Amino acid sequence: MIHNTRYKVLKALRITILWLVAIISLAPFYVAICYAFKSKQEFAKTKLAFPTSIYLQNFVDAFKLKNYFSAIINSSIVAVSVVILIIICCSASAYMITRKNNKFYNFVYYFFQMVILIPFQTIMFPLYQELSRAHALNTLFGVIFAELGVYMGYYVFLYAGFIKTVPVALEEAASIDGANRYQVFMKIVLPLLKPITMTVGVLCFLSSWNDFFLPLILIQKDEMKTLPLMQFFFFGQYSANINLAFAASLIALVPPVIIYFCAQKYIVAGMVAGAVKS
Amino acid sequence: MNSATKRKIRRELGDFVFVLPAIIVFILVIIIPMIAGIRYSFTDWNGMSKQMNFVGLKNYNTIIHDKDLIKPICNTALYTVVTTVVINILGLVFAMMVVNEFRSVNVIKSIIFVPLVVSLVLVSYMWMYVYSDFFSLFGLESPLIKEKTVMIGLCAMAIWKETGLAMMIYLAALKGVPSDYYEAATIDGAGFWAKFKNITIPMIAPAFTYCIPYWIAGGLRMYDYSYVATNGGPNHASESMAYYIYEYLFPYNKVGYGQAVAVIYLIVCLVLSQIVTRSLRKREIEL
Repeated sequence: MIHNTRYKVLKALRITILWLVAIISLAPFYVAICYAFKSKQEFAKTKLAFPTSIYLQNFVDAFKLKNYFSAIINSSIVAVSVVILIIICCSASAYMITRKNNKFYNFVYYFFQMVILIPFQTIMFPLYQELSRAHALNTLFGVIFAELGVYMGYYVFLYAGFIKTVPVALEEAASIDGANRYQVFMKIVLPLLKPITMTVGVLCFLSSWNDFFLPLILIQKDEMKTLPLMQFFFFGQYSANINLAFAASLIALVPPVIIYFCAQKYIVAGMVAGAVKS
Repeated sequence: MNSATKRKIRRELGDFVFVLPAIIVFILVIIIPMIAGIRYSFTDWNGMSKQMNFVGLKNYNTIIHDKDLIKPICNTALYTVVTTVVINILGLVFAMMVVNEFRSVNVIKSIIFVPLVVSLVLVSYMWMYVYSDFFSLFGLESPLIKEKTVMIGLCAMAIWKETGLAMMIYLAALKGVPSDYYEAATIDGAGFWAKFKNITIPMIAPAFTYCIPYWIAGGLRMYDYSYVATNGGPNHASESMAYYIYEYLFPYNKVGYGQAVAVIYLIVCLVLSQIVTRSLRKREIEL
């Protein structure tokens, strides 16, 4: 009986603490929302009080900002292209590396792994030079290409971990039936990789959508900027109208949040994949 | 060459096609810039002029006497230690709190995890205004405006953003611990700490081996917060190593020197990650 009460008290305490943590997690969003949903004058008066009326003019104005719409398009093109290319390149190479499992392919794998450990600062200037010589600065292609190289190592690693658990029997049966290796890969292997492909797609989209540093050095032209660059620019440019900058940033947050709520299980699966080996 | 060898070569080449695109991108984006970067570090190149003089180890010699490097090194070390320790401890504590399910557990987990999907730019700005507007309600001033507290202010942003990830990783590890271990220990009269020390920690050791090097590597690379939230200031007090390198490569146009610092920095990062991972692996086996 006493034990039971003690357990209940502890449980209530635990839940209270967790809710407090949750509130702290949400507090910065509250500040952003306060700014975005209040006019400048209202914010000066009421500060962080709960918004009493919903003021949407900041959002309307955000869409009218110069190059804001093109930033949305640029970010979408970059993120979608990087996701598709990462899925193709990484699934194919991880497949061959895992199935071959010989010295050469293990060496290749080891090299891919190295990328995860290399700080980007050591390669960024020469990469900038290289893309500049190829006239790929200020182009979305340059950003896509660079992101592809920088992200690749981690996703090859995720794919390889998953492919190890896929039995070879199906592939052998298909090749006995006369399918060549490309058909085996496209028709048999890729469909089996669907769970990890979802994970890779979601994680890769989020990284690319939120990436700030790579586009920062590769893009100077306003009309080629991606959303994080634009946000950075807005907060600097409109320091007198932070409400507008916050509204513009919250719009950029919509796709990641939607993806987060729809695909939470894939995000978590990918994030913990390397950490918890069975 | 007989036809069997020919066929074998053709088959190997066909297999190689699978890794070829990845290898090409990898060579162009990582390997070539890396070699070029090492080469620049032995020159006095400014990044723009056609002329590039080979200066041997001069840049590396300058690093040893560069007093301006001390601050970024200390900042990076402080940031790495604080974020790694706090994020992992909080992550583990929260994971242990949510592992026994209750009604609203999934909502709480989702909320604690959600900051992870916010871009670093927005995180920086949200926190700048949390510090300036929210803190002022309690008469506190923003930690970002003082040299002494600015790094702690940046650490708090990272802790807020990434603790949810640590929680999820430790949670997955905790769920893999068979519950009969705990039941057996309870029957033997083991208390909370005894169970934590003798069952939980050894059983989730692989998660430590992943998480600790992960956050150390992340901390060593910290750049965005310094750039967006404080621009290295006030008075260079929040420059990280990565930020310092960026300054030499781009705004200062001292590519030779910047690359030399970058090469040393790369070596330190690789060696540190290796040492930490190795020692954690060794402990994992001992436990």
